[in-house]
Amino acid sequence: MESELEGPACVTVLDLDPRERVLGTWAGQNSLAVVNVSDRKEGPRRPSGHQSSQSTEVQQVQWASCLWNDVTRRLVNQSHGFFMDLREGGGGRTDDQKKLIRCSRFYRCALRECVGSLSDMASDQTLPPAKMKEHSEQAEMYSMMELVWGLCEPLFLEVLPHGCLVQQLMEWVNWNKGEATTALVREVASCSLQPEQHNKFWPLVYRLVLQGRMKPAVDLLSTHSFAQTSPKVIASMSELLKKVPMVRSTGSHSRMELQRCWYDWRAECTRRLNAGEYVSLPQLHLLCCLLRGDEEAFCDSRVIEACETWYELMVGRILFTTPLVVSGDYDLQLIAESCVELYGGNRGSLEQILLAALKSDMLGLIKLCSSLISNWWFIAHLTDLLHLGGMLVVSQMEYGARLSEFLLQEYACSLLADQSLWEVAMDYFNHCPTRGRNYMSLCMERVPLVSYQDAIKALSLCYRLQLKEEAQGIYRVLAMRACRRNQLSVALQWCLRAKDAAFAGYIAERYFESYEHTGELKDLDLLDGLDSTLVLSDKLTFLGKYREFHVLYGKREFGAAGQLLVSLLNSKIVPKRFWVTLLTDALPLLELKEEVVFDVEQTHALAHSLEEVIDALPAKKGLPQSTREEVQESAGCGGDKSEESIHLSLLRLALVRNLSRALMAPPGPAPC
Amino acid sequence: LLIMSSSGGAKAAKMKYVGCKLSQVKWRPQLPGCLECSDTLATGSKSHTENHVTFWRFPPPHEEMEGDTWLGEDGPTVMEPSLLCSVKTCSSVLALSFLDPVRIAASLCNGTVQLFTTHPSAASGREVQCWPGLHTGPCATLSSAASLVFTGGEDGRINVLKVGEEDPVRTIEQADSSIISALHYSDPTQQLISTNLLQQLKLWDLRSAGNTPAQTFSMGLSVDSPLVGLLCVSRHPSQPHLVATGCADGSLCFWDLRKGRGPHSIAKAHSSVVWDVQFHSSYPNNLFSCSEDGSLWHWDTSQAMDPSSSLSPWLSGAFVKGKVAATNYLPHNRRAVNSLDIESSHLVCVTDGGALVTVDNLSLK
Repeated sequence: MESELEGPACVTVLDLDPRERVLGTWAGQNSLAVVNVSDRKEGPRRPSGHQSSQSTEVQQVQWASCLWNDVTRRLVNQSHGFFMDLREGGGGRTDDQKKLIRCSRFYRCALRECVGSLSDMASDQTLPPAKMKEHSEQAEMYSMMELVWGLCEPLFLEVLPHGCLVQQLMEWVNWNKGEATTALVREVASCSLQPEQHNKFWPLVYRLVLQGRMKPAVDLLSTHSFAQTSPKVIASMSELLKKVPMVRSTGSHSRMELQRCWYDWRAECTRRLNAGEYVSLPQLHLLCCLLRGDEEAFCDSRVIEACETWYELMVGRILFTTPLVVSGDYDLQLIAESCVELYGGNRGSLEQILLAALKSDMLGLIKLCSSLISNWWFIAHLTDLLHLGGMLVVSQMEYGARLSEFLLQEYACSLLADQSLWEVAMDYFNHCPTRGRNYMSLCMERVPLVSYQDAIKALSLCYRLQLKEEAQGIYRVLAMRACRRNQLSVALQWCLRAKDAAFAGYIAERYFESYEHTGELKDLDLLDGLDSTLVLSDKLTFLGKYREFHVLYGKREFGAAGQLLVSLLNSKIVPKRFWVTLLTDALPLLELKEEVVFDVEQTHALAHSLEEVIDALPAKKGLPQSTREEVQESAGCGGDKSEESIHLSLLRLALVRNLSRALMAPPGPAPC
Repeated sequence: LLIMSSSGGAKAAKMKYVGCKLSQVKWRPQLPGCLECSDTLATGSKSHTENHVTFWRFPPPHEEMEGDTWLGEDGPTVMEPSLLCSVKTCSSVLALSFLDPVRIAASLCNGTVQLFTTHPSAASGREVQCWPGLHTGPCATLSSAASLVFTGGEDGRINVLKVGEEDPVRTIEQADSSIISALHYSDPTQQLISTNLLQQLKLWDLRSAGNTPAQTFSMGLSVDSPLVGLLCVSRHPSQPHLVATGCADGSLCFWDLRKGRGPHSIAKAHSSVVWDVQFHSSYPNNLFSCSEDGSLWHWDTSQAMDPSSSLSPWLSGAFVKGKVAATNYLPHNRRAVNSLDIESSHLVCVTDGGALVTVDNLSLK
């Protein structure tokens, strides 16, 4: 297996003989079934006490998944809710585009919470170092996703008119770097010396301005000693900073108006520079060059050092050089690439992904995210939103629907690595129109059904998603398991739900066999509850009728009981091997002193059945042995064959006697 | 008239995602001598490689005002419950029951019952006793009173356990031919109610030594419904003959144990399996139920009271006739709500999605 991870983990599977062939197959979830297969007929026995490799012992190799833990599961469950809300309404009907953006914000919130919790766990000293490392790696990965999502939202999902993109980009930078910068401001401002003595004073001013946060920049500048000594210089800069044209609302300005604004603003900067207003303070001069949008100023090493990342510089540069840029403009890509170069040109995963996004290369973005981020959550949900918003079609990807479905499928499959997330995965599969159904069916077959609660949950999910066949499969598994536990009534109940006639017939037979062994009908709760269900299987009908016979007999309604018995024997729904038992049940009725139960015709019918049994006797050796006590007593302790024949002759005798009584007197209570 | 107030209602449910599938929730009973209502609860998780019983505490109202509080539509919002401690169980938790404020019994998927004890502040907890192998298959449910624990399993067996004793003090083999789904023990009468998947409700008199139920009630098996069975039971706090059960087909059944062998009335309440049902202990005109379909309903019959009749509104058919005020606190939730519990005006429930949901300031009449 190929693995991109460094140092693939090695697991030694015990009890495998490397000299033999080793076969392995996927065994569901995170496990492999491994078995030794030998071509030779007699394999050499190993000296140790281990079993021979010849034994067909299958070993299961399981591994834990660190993909899903409490924090990431929280993200999965929350985003599942958003995903479903988007599909199935909820939260009121609004414009589709607005819905998508709303959903995107929800995903980002959940992602942010996840990053926060993971970072907390990464610095939790009570955890073992390996765990801390794992969490910090995950925190890094998720914060990267957050960053990328934040950029993709204005670029692809929430596309606004000219002049707005740069505002959105500034928000994006502030969302990710704002807090750190604010903390830095506090640190510098609380400096015991003059703030400008702090070596981070000027870098911070540049940084704030490039982030578009003019107010804190002005505040910081006002703490400079120049504010006292030559207040004019600082005041001039503060005024300039306050006048930076910012688009506050969408669609309130035309492109022409904005262009005019920026033109005037740059002219103002140039005027002040030419007037030499900032010559006394070279840092302010540089700042003014930045404001004017001088390309060289953005390449100044002081500016580069001030920003923590290339994309901070990029956003600042866009703000002051090409503020009217919109998503998809070549300028965006150009500026981004040049900024990356300024920071050493190192293109890691993050750079590649962000650059693809800035290039509006959606396919490239999806490809890169799929291969560089070891988690399907991000790209599956993002692509889904892009697909729903029709963005994939715009970029001429006719296969967009299939791509988005494929990514959702991959994500759902990755969820199956965790035992508790299969229901979430099912909902995702359900929204994959082409192949989702196959996946659902495969998944349903492997759902753990440990408790009856699990079973009921799985079944109700099947009914919700209309997976009829899979539900049948589950019923069958449950019935089989109950059968093995010898809970026949539970087994029968599941069969009835599945309307599985063959299995129900099998269980009915086992029921009757256990009756023949113990002499009592067990689990009456279900049998008494049966009635309309009896049509499912002949054998079940027989069982129900037989129970009815017992009830009638118990109530001493012998006439009705006898009639039922004869009709059962005549109806041919009773398997032949149970006839002896049924005939034996007739015996006490035949021998009743006070009543003649069977009339002549019925007696003939019974006799006919008896002869059929006797005819079949020599041919069939393994006749079920009746253990009814009365028969054993009368038969003494003879062998099987003699016991059987004595039993049958007893029956014949009783029939003859009954026939004579029936001929003498009509059926009914004997006259006293 | 059925009054439905969905999300727009005054009471909004608050969800806290904890990251694992939750199967059970129970408020901890208050320590003796304490008049305030309990602020601590226990949850049980399932379907993970490691499962836990976890204790949570809600910050008291005054504490919440000091911190970072924000004002919601209906006054200051209760802050999130905070985790107190977590104890590992040896399998998925299927049922939980507090014996007293510091001891809690958990019935588990591998047929075991574990008893845990916590520090009075619930800051730490540990196992005190374990009864392995009580049932073949999962130990589906349990009920408790003082130092007795009653367990019911999928094997149809009922066990009576006494804290401190290793073996069950009493075992009723084949108490049920089906799967026992819920148990409810009432202390003064020593009556045990069990329900099963064959839609039967059995009343056991534990004072008698016999192995057969004192009474069996049944609602008959319908063939058409794909799922049947009574899955949960609650007894009216002041009228012990009145019992409510939740069914697998989404209906609620009300039983009058004094008469009849079938349910007194059946009301269609949920669109899927009802996992838990509970009468409010001090306002029994209020009933709460939760379901696989993700809903959490509050049923209020106080408006349906007939002053001329002494019959309880639950039995007078008010429910079936729709004269009940009904509120769904979770109209947008999709994940199954597995368990609920109420403590004065605080309702909590837990979902498959790992959300611990709280609804505060219930209006109770």
